[in-house]
Amino acid sequence: MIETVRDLLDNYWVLTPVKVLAVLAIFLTFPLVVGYMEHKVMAHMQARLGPMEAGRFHGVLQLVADGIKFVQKESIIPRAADKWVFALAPAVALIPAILVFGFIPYGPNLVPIPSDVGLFVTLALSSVSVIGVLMAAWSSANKYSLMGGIRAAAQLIAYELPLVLAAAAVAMQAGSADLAVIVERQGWWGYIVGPLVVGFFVYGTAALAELTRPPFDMPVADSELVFGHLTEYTGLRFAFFLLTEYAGIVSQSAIAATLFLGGWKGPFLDGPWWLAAKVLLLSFGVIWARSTYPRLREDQLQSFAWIRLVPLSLALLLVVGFLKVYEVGV
Amino acid sequence: MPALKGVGLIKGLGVTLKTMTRPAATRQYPHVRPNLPARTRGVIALIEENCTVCMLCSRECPDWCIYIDSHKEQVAPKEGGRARTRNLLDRFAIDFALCMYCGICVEVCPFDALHWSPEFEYAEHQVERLTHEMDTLRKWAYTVPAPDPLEVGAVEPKELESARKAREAAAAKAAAAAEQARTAAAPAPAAPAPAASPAVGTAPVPGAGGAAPAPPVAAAPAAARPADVEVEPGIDQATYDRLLAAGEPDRTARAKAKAAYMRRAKAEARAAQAAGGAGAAPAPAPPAPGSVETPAAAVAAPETTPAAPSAAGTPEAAEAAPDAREPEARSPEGEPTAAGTAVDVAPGAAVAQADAEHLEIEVDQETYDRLIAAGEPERTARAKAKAAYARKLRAAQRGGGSGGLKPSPPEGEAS
Repeated sequence: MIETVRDLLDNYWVLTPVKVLAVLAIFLTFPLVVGYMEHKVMAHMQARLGPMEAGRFHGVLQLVADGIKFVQKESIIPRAADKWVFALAPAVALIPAILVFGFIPYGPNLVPIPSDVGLFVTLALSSVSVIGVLMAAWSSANKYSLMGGIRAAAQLIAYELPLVLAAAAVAMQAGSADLAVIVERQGWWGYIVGPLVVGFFVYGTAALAELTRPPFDMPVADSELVFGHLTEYTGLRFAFFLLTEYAGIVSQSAIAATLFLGGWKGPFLDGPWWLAAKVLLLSFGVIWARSTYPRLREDQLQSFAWIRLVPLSLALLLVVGFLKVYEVGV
Repeated sequence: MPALKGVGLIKGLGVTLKTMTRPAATRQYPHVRPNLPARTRGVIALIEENCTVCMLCSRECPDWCIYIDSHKEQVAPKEGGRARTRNLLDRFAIDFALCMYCGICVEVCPFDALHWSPEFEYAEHQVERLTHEMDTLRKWAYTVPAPDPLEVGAVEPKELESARKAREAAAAKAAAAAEQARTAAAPAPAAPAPAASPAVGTAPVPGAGGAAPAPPVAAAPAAARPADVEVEPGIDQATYDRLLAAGEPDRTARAKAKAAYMRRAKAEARAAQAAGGAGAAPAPAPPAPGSVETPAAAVAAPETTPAAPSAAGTPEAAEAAPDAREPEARSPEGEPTAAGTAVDVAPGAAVAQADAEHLEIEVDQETYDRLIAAGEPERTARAKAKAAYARKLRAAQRGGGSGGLKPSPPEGEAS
């Protein structure tokens, strides 16, 4: 029986839809779980209860209810907007966010799209989302949207550098850019035990900024820019942007877990559950930072990236290179 | 300056994490009732039987959100007295859309008709529906918590004091009478004669007179209370005229005339009793049975009847009996008119009748009798009895049956 299923799955035309469905299932569940977690964790950190009604038990279906609400909303396109670009922008932001999930190693030999440059593909894909943001900002014909989009682009450029440098340090340590290989070269404790803990810090901070999550959410600073590039969006398109944001949290957490925390490896039984646990833990960290820190000023954000993080990650790369060459602690 | 840069960032994380592990401040209100103080000022309730339509609340209200309608009624003249007027409350409404909950009306009410109720869930979808009428205000009054007990050593309130004194006097008298009954020979109907010794002036209030506890010796219930003469209240016209002519104010003159009448009437009654008490004629000035002035007398009467079931022998019982029967006899035709709106009684009706109907319809008689017997002031007893009645009525409605409802007005209520 198992043999038959395995033979069937060897067929490309059977395996591919299965993979697509699996990735879509992950894409549609985990961001909702993280979104619900954000509601509840942030509420409790503010001595509130958060959603309590939808779904009877502690508001578990709150995000489903939100989704139904968004579907019902009127989809408004401003008269002066560049209609095609405006309509396309959410898709441009959303699709790369889905694709990232295809390159994550979920377990031993469990990579939907095996690639020997998986690390760079995922980083590149997660940066494409900002194109969607820029499209939305420009096509909205709204000064707040445009300012928000430009901030998002500037932020991406500033933080992409330390992000890639930190990831490069990991790739150098592992000797490969294949995410599956990177996981296999780590112990279950991951690269975080060692000098790469600095890399983890740099990567985490830069990822927060790339996701425009608080305290780095200047592109959507409501006191200055209404809601940045999302100002003119309503209904389902707005929901897609929100979904992109939460999918981004999950995918960035997954990449960080893969690079620094040992991916699917764990102390007892290796498997996808370890990755899921680590993703949720890192997502909790993202939410924790959001409910703790106030928003940075735009210039502080830029100087923090260029003056602190970039030199730090360059130094890290240097140190990891030296250790690698002289084979210390490998 | 902190010892290490960035320590504040870690501390901040600690604060949020600590807050997360602690219980939230949120109250799940519609699911969990708020734990409010007992005397929460939620809404203003009205005890309408305390209201004398003095209009003080309405006039003091800064928002003018209290609406009062009333009409005057002629009180049937006393024997020898003049017709009096009194106010009957037709409408008492508070517009809670205007009310700012200052509580001045509650403060200013001289008759404790207005109270703060802790009820607070009376939101409405339309502003007009926030004007609540007498029936709603009355229902809220049942949620008003009872007053706190007095502090140790506090001065006893006047009405409680008078009630207590009356009770004590009655008890002492009953004890004395029982003593006499024991010492006196059994076949002596003349035995009551010495009982005239209690001074006429100290005779207890008619209401409290019936409240005497049942005499310990059940064998001679009639002989047990010889001094307890019940007389119809009235006015001594001669005294009244004389005093008025002498320049006394009307109120004083009336009071003194009444006192004089009562003294005379009681003396006559006792004389008749002493003269053999055949009981055929309730000799002392039998007034028209309908002209009972205080409802207390009418209510106190039923209690005396069970004490002397074979009452035909004593003039006291003979006298009490018609009064006791009176309201019940009248009730059948009285109910339907008064059932819906007790205030809308035909304006010409005699007050006595209105009173009787009032009691018959709205008051739980058992509770009333019990409370009067316990020495409560008449007004308190009536209010509590009314509350008890309303409780029973509600319980009956909730239970689906009208069981446990003694004066059975639901039929009238429903129509």
